Amino acid sequence: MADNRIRVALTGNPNVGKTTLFNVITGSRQHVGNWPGVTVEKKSGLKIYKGYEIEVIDLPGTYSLTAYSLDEVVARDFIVDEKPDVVVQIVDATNIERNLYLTTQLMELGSKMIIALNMYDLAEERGDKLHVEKMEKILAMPVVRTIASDNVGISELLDTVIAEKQKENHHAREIGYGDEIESRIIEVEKVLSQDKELASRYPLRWLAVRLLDGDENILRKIAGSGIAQEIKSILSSLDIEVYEALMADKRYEIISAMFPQMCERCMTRMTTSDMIDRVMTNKYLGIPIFLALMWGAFELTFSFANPFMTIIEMIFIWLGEMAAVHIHPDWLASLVGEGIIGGVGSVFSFIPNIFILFFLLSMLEDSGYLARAAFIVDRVMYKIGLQGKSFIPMLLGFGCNVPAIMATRSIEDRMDRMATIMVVPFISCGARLPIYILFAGTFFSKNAGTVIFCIYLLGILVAVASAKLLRTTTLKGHPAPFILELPPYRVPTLKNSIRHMWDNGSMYIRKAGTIILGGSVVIWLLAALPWGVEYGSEVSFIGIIGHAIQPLLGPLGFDWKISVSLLFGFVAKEIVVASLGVLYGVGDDHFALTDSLLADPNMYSITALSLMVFSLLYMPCVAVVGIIKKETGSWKWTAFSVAYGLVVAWLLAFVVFQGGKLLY
Amino acid sequence: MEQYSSRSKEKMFFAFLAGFLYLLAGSIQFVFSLSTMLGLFPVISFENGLIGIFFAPSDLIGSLILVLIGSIFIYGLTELRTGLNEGIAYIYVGILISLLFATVYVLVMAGNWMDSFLLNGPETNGWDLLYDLRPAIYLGILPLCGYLIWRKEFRAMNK
Repeated sequence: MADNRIRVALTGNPNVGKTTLFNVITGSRQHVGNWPGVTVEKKSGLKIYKGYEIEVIDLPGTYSLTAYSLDEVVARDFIVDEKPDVVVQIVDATNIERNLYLTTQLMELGSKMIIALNMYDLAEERGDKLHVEKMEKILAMPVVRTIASDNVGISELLDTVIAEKQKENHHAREIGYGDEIESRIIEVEKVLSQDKELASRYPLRWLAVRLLDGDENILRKIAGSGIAQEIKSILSSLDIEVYEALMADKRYEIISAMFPQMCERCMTRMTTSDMIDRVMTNKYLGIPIFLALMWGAFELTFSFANPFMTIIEMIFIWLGEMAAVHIHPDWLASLVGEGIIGGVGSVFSFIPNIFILFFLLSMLEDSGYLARAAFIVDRVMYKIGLQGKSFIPMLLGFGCNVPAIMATRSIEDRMDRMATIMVVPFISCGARLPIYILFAGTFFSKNAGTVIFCIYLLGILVAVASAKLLRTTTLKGHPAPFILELPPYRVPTLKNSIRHMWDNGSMYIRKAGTIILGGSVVIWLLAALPWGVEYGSEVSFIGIIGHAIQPLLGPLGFDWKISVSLLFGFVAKEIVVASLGVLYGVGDDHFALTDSLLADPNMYSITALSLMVFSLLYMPCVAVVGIIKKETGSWKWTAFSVAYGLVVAWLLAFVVFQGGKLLY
Repeated sequence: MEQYSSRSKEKMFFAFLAGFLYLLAGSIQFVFSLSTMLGLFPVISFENGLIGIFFAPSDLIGSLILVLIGSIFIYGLTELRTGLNEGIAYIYVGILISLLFATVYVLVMAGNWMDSFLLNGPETNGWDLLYDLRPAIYLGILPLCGYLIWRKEFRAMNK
C-alpha cells in the first residue's frame, strides 16, 4: 500500500456518533439515528487530506469484541482480519466509563489506536471535568476532543491519524488478568504459536484471551488448524464461564481504577434525560404517551399536508387538461393524460404527506424518544416471546421494510431474528401511506388521521400477534434478555431532521420517475389493448386480468379495478394508487382521484377500510421478498412470509368487510 | 403543607390546576364524543350549544389525550406531595406534551384553513374556526405560562 494511503476504522459503542463522524469526514450522507444499531454493515468513504488518501470505514457499533451478534462479528472481523492502519474509537464523553470496556479489548488487539472523545461539549455543559492529557497517558494513545455534529475537532483528528500512521514503533497494551489466568494465557499462547500461519495473522495473546473468554467465533477460526484439538482439550479442562466472568471483572476493576483520574465529577447524577425518562418510561404512562405521540404524528401527516396535496392535485389536473387539448393523436393524449399524468400524478400528490411523516419520525428519532419506545414496548414484547430489540427494526420499517429487515442482524438470538424478519412486513412502510391517505381522506374525511393511525397500530398488533404465534410453534424458545442503552435526549436540529426526511422521502420521488412511471405505462397499455376496445373496460386486457382474480377478492368487497391494482402492488405498493389513477382516468377527466372514487357506486367506507387493511398486510413488495430471501437464506421461509401475509390479510379484510356489512 | 418550599408550592398548585382542567375537559369531551358516536343524544345540541362550542367537535382520541396530559400533571403532584422532588419531571414533561399537542392542533387548524382557502377561495366556505378550536389549544395557555415562568429552571436541570 502506498505511503500516502491510510485505512482508518471507526469503531465504538452504539450511538456514540460514529456515523455522524463518518459523514462529516467523508462528506457521505449515511443514515444517522439516535438509537443503537443503526449501522449494521460496514461502510467506507474516502477523504483527501493534506495529500493523504484516507479511507474511512464505519463499523457497526459494539459494546465489546465478544462477537455475540452479527454486527459485532462484522466490526471485530474487520479490525482483526483487514488490519486497518489506525483504529479510531469514538467515545461518548458523557459516558466514558461504559465506553472504556471496549477500549480495553481494542487495546489488546495491538492496533494503532486513537480515542475521539465525542460530544465533550455535552459533558462539559453538565459540569464534567475531562482530563484529556491524563487520559492519553493512562491509555497510552492519543485522545482528540470532537463534536462530530458541529464539525469540531475533525482536522485535529485527521492530523493525529496521519501522525499515528507515520509512527514506526507501536506497543500493544496488555491487561493483566492475575496470576492464574495469566498462566493459562501463556499456556494457550504457546500452543497457538505452533501454527505459524495463525501466528502471522493474529496477535497470539489476544487469541488466547478470546479463547479463554469462551469466544466460539474464534474457536471456529482455528478449527482447521493442527493445534485445534490441543486447544480444545485445554479449554475443556477449565470452567470457561468462570474464566469469562473473572476476566470481565478484571477489566472493570482496571476501568474503575482509571476512570476517576480521567474525569472529575463524572459520577452519575440525575440529568434532564433522567428526569424526562421518569415520565416517558413510566410503567403506566409510557405506552399511552407513545400512542399519543404517534397519533399526533399521523394527524399532522394528514391534516397539515392536505393543502399541499391539493396544490399538487390541481397541477396534475391542469397538466391532464393540457395533454387532452394539445397532444395529438388521441392515443398519445390518452397515454400521456390517463397513463402517465394519471398514474404518476396520483402518487406524486402524496409526497407532502410522506415528507411530513418522515420529518416527524426523524424529530422523534433524533430526540432520542424512539429508543425509549423500544424500551417501553420491551415489557410487552417479552411477554409475547419477542425481545424489545425486535421493535427497533419494526420502527425502521415505518420508513421501508428493506433496511428494517437488514437491521435484524443486531438481534443475537436466531429464533428472535427469524421471528422478527417474518413480522416486519406487517409494519406499514411509507409506500403504503398513499393508499391510506387516499381512502381515509376520501371516505373518512375529518377522522382520516385517526383511521390512518389505527391502521398503523393494526400493523403493529398483527406483527406482535404473529410473533407470538411463531415463537410458540415453529420458532420455539425463550427470548434473549434485552439490554438497550438509552441515548440522552437531544433537541432535534432542523437541519438533521430535514436531511433525514429528504433521505427517506426522496426515494419516493425517484420511484415516481422510474418504477411508477413504467408501471403506469404498462397499466395504460393493458387498459388500452387490444386495439379498439373501450379504454379500461372489462374487455381490455386489464379488465380480463381483473375479472380473473376478482372472485378471490370479491368477498372482501373489491371490484376488478381494485383487485388488479392490488396485484400490481406487488412490484411496489405505490403502484396500487398509480393503477387506480390510470384506471379511473384521472388525467383525462379533469378531476381528482378522490372524486372518481366517491362517484364509484361500488365504493363505500367499509370497502375503503377493508382495502386499507388488506394493503397493510398482504404480501410484501418484490424488494422486501428479495431481502427476506437474502437474510434468511431460505426459499421456504420466504414463501412462508408471502403466503402467511396473504392469508392474514384476506382473513382480516374479510372480517372487516363482512362484519361492517352486518353492522351497517 | 409547611414542609414544602414556596417554589414547590407554586408548582404543586400549578400541577393541580393544570391536571384538574385537563382531566375535566378531557372527561367531558370523552363523554360527549362517546354519546355522539353511539347516538345517545341528538348531535346537534352539542355542536351548537355553549358546551358544544367549548368542546366541539366530538373527538374521542383528542379527549383521551387531554386525560393523559391531566394524569401526567396529577402524577407529578402526588409525587411532590409525598416529598419526592423528582415529581417535578412530570410537571416538566406535562408542560412539554401539552404544548406539543397545542401545536399539533394549531397546525391542523392551519392546514384545514389553507385547504379550504385553496378549494373555496377567500370565503373559505366549509371551514369553521369553532370546529377546529380544540380544547388542547386554549388549555395550552396555562402550560405556556408555566413554561415561560420556569424555563430557566428547566434548562438548568442538566447542569
